[in-house]
Amino acid sequence: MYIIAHGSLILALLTTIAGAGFACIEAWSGQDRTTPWLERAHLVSVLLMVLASSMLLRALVAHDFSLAYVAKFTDLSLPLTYTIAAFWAGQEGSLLFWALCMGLAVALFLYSRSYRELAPRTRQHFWLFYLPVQAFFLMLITYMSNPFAQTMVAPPDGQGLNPLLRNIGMALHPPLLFVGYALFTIPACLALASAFSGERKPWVEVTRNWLLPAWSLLTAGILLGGWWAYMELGWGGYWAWDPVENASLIPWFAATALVHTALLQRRFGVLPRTNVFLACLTLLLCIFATYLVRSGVVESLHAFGSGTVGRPLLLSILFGLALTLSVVTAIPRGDTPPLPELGSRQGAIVVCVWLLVALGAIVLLGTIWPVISQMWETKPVGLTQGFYNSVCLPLFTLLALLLAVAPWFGWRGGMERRWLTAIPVVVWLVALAVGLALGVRPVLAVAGVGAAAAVAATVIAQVILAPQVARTRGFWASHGSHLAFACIVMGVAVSGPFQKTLEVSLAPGEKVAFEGYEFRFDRLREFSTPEMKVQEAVVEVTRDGRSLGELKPQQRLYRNFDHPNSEVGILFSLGNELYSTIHDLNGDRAEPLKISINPMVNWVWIGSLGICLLPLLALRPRRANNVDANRN
Amino acid sequence: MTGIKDNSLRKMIIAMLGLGVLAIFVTAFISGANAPQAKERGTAQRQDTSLDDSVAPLMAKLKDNPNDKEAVSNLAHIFTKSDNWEKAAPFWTKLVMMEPENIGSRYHYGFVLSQLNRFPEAMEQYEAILKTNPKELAAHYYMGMINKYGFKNLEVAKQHFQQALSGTLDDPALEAETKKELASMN
Repeated sequence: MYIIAHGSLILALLTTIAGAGFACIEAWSGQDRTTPWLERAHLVSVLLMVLASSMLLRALVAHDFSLAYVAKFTDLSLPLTYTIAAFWAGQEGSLLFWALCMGLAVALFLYSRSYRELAPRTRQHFWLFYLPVQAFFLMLITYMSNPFAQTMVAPPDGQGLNPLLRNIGMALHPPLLFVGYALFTIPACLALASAFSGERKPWVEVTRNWLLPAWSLLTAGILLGGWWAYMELGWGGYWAWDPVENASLIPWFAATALVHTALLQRRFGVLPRTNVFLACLTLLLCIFATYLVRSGVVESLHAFGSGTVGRPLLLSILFGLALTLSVVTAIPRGDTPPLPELGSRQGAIVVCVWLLVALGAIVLLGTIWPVISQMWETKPVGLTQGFYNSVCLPLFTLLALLLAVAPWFGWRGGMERRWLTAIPVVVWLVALAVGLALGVRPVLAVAGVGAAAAVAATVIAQVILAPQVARTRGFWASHGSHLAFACIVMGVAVSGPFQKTLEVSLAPGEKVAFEGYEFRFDRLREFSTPEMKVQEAVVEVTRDGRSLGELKPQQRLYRNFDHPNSEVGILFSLGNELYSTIHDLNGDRAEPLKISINPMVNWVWIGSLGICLLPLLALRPRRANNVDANRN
Repeated sequence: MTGIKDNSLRKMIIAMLGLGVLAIFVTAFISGANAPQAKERGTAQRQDTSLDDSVAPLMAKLKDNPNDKEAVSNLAHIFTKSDNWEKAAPFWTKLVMMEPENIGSRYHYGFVLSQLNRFPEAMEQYEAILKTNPKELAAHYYMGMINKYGFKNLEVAKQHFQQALSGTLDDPALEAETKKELASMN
């Protein structure tokens, strides 16, 4: 049966390659007659991918262990949610998922008014650039990373999903990232197509409703990964600047820069070449993220052996970069307006973009540092968290400060009420002075909290001073997102440096006092599910004699995995969140019970929710009365 | 947007794309035709997201605290499960150093070492197990296997298998396997 699934993918690849070949021939001869055929070819290839994906999903749900992929990532006891999530648990499935999302998104785009309003030549060029991308992904999943490889003998049960991945955060984190990655294909290909055909309709306007969801999904995927690390790994933190984490953060910087420069082009027609470059760079960095994770190039942390897809991914990135640079440098300057002045909101956005580019470059270089340092080191090692924290966190703080100040500038320069600009500056200086006077250290944390407060002050002042503007969706899409970003900055600035941790060996009935709280290990509960055996420590928490609730950290022994995993116990709070794990159990004694007090950590997640959802308010329905620029 | 007007540049870019498509075709249908795809052995080493996603944070934990026993143990198990013996070995070494009395870790370490053909070191682990608990008859089975297939010392292998069967092995499957190995030598 899986021959049909694999055959579907091969057929989809053939169809896509044929379409891409025709698109090249047509573009070479300056024709655009085959566009309807290219569209049909795409729809056929998407249907074939849907068929193959359905068969993989069916195999997962039916526990068909004759398929190596199913045997590797599921077992009979795995709950249905995680069984379905196993679709993207491995390399083969995740690449298929990416290709499928990309194909479906482009099929939707094909039926959109935005697409139909493009000039015929631009539509033809869109397929010229898009179909090779799809062909590349189909090549990977048909010949290099085949999800339909079968086992010699079907085992009676599978190996099961890694326990660390059995968390709703991890079930959703990869698909969000992959859908985000997939959606960035549309802006990138349309940017190239528009540059190629001289499309009069600005592509940044056409792809607005694709770029913003792509950005939101990528952001959600990254932040959900952080939340998973916090909830599942039990070390009390959420970001370790590890290559896998950095891999998705690098395209995020480019995408965030693009969201802002696209805004400038839409409103003022500036930076057209920069936008084409950033759109393509974002897509290439998404592929680079997969390359980092899959190739084992960063040996010190991800030496999983030589990846089957590493080399083709690297070649595709280099090829894409060469193609992008060729197109961008070939775009004539034309009558592009000059760059905005620094003392304007446009200028502030450009500075923000440069900060984002700098952050992206630092994280990129830091991540591949072990590879670069191989040139002079015999045993290259990755950079520590300390490096990233000391370089990136000040830049993030600066970014937040800029977000506080920028809204007071006029779009084309000047300030209507100059004294109002002092509001965020005063708020920041006061926060800094008070913090320092109270002896709060580190200074960077104080500066971060001050910057977050300054952004909040700016948004509140804007709401008061311009209530009509504040009632628009656009205001909350931009300023609301900035406020959400400030929440994250504040959460990070406080929860990291001011975290308090205690490790103590406790038996039932014993108690320990820590930072004004009293923790009493009440009892050890044991229970089983078909999936696992659980030992749960019930720890009562009181403060000043008042009960605050119970912490319930667990040790779980999953079926098919012979080492116990820690599950954190949490007492939620917007102030001090109490967080606990059991490292080991000796009889019924927790050895040790680890307790952390994480101040304001939930502001990171509140801000995360806001920053993912609020930009979607800027989505615009395509109205029928939109002027078709290509016909006028 | 002003389109690209230079026709030679346009053609160069189209040619680049055409070559890219051709490369995909050649890789997929000519080079790719030789790639194994229909059947896969259970032990084949493959990349997977679960490795990516679970190893990275554990390594980060180790960077923070190199003596984080849970992280070391998790990494050792993860690499062992994915048959990545080279990667697993250093973590088992560390775990055995941290918990010399932990028999389970020594069993795993011994197994990983024998997969790497480091038979004398593997033997040391099983000897250490027997020193800690002489009743761990399963260790004799593994020592027998190493002698039979590693050192090709059939006589010593036979002795170990016999010792393994001198009491009751906890695992009936292992007992049956030991009897089978012994029978094949007679």
